[in-house]
Amino acid sequence: MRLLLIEDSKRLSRSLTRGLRKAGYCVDATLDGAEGLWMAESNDYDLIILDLMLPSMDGLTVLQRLRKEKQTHVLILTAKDTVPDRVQGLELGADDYLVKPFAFEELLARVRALCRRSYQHKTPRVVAGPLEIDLDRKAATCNGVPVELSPREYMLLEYLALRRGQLVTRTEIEQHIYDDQVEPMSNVVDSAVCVLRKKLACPVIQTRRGLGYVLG
Amino acid sequence: MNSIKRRLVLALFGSLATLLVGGSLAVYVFTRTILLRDFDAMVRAAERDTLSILMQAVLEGAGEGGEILLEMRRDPPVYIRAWTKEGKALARSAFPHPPEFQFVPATEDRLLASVELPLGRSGRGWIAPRPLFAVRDRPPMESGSVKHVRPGGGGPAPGSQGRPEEIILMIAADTGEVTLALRRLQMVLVTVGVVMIAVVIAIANVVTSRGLAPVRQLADQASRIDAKTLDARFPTQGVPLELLPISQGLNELLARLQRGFERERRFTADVAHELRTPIAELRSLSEVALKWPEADPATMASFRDTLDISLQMQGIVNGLLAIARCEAGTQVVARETVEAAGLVRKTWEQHQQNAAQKHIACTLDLPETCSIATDPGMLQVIVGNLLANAAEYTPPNGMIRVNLSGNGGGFDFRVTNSVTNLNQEDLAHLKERFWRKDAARSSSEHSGIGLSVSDAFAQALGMRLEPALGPDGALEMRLCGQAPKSPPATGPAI
Repeated sequence: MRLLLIEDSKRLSRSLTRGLRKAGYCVDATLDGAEGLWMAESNDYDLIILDLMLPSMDGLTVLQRLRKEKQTHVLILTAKDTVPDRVQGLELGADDYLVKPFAFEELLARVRALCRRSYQHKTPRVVAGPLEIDLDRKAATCNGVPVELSPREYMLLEYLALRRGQLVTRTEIEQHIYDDQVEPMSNVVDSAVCVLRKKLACPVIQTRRGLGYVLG
Repeated sequence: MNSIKRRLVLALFGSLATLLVGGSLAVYVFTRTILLRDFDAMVRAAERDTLSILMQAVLEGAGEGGEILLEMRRDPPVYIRAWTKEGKALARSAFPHPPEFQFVPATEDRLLASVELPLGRSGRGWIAPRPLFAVRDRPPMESGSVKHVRPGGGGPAPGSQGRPEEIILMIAADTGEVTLALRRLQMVLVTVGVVMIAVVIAIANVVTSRGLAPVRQLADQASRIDAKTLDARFPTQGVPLELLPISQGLNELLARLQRGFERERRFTADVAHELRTPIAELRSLSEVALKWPEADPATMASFRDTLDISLQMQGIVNGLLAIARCEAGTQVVARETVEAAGLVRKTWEQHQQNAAQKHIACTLDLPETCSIATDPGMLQVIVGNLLANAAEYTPPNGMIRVNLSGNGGGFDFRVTNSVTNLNQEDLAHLKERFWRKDAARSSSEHSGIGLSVSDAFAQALGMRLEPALGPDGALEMRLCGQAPKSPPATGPAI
C-alpha cells in the first residue's frame, strides 16, 4: 500500500516513515501542506496521513481542496483533540482522527483498516481459493500451509488480494508497493510476482500479458 | 473583637456620657450656687434686721443683767447668737431649743457653710464682728431678767449716747429646703442622664447597624466570589461614597485575578498542547525502535526508557489539559447510565495483584448494583486513580477498604487505606497539582497530578472529592454527591 505522510515535525515524520516502511508500506513524506496537496492530487495513494498544523497550507484546507478532486482516505493526525476539532475534520471529509501522542500500534491498526476500506474490504481476512491472508497478522497460508514472505512480497500479495478479481497493472503495483527508489524501466514487478508465485505454490495469480496481473 | 459598630457605639456612649455628666454637673453647680447665693442673701437680710432689733433692745436696756431673746419669725427660721467682744452672751433667738452656738472671737466675716442647728437640723450662716451701740450705756435691768424684743423698734432711745461697740454676731438659717431641692435636682439629672444614655445606645445600635448594612452587603457579595466567578463585579452605582473606593478597588483586584487565572489556564492549556507533538515524537521514535530492534541491548534499553518517559509526560500533559478544561468549563460531560459497582470491581482487578504482592488486607463493600447517571470515562478516571493510589501507597501488610453506596439519589464512594506518612496539614495539599509528600520527588512513576485531575473531574460531574484522616490514621478518599439514576430526559449533557 502506498501512503502519503504530510507532517511538519521532521522527527515525527522520520519515525513514522521508518515504522510504516518497516510495516510494509510505501511511504512518501512531506513537511509542507501545499506540497502535500500537490502530491496527493498528482498520485494515487491508498491513504493520506495528514497533520493539521502545517506550514504554507493548513491540514483542513488541504483536505477541503483534496476532496474536490479525490476520495482518497485521509487519517488526520493532530494534537487538537477537542470535540469541535474532531467534528470539523470529519465533516470536511476525513475518514479517521488520531490525537497526538498516540501508540504506533494504534496508528498501524487504523492505517490497515483504512487501507482495507480503500478496497471495500471490511474484514481482516481475504480468501481466494486455497489462499488465505490475515491482513492484521500479515500472514498468508496456502492450503493451510503458512507461507513465508518478505515484507515487500507480502505487500504485493496483499495488494493483489485486496483487488481480487481486478486487473492490476504493473504501474499500479509500482506505485503502491514500491517507493521512488524504483527505476522506471526495471522489471522488479515481474521478478517479484515470479518469486511470489514460487512461494505460494498455488496458481492464484494470473498474468494478463501486456496488461498486468489478476489474483483469484 | 475589633468591631466598627462597637467602636462607634462606644464612642457615642462615651461622648454622650461625658456631655451628660458635664452638663448635669454644670447645671447642679449653677443651681446650687444660685440657691446658696439667694440663701446667703436671705441670711444677710436677717442679719441686718437682727442688728436693728438688737440695737433697739440694747438702747432700751433690754440686755442689762441677762441675755436678750430675739423673736424673729422668718421662713426659714433664723438662729441668732450675739456676744460682746469679750465673749459675754448678749442675745439669742427666742426658740424653745436655742442653738448651741459657741463664741468665736471673729475679726472678720466668716462663712459657716455647715452649722448644727437644734433638733438635728443643718444650717448655713455667718459669724461676723458688727458694730453696735455701747452696751454700758444701756439702762439697767433687774439682774437675771430677760427682755424679749421684737422687731419694729425705732432708733436709739432718747438719752442714750449712741457710741457703737463691736459685737460678735452668729446667724444661721435652716438649709433643709435648699438641700432637699438640690437632692431632687440630682435625682432628676441622674435619672434623665441614665435614660438618655440608654436611649442613645439603643438608637446608636440601630443607626450604626443600618449604616453598616452596605458593608455587610459588600462582605456577602465578596464571600460568594470564587475562582469560577471572577467575572463578578461589585456595584459602583448607588453605593455610599465611603464604600465606593472599596468597591472600585475590589473590582480592580477581581479584574487582575481574572486575568491572572485566565493567563494560567491558557498557559496550562497551551503548554500541554505544545508538549503533545514533542511527546508524540519521543513516543513514536521509541515505539518504532522497539518494534523493529536493530541496535544493541543497551541502546534498546534506552529506547524503552525513552518510551516510558514519553508515556509519563503524556499522562502529565493529558492531566493538565483535563484540569484546564474543567476549570474553563469546557470539559465535555457525556452522562449515561453507568453501573458503578461493576466499574469499581473491574477497575480493582487491575490493582488487586499489586495489593496482594504487598500482603495488603483488602475489603470491598459493594452493592450488587449501583446505577448512576454520569460520564463513564470521567468516573473511571477518578475510581482508577483512587484505587491505584491506595494499592501503591498502602504499606505492606496494611489495609484497603472500598465502600460504595448509592441510596436515594446520592452517590458515596470511599477508598480507605492505611498510611504512614500523612498528617492533617497534608490533607489541604493532596489535591494540589504536582504536590507530593516526598519533597525530593524521588519516584518517577508518579507526578502528583492524579488527584488534581480526579478533583477537577469530580467537580465537573457535580460531586466532591474529600480527603480525611480517620482516628486510626487511615486516609479516606471520599467521592460523593447527588447522582440521579438516569441521564436527563433531553439526552446526555454535552
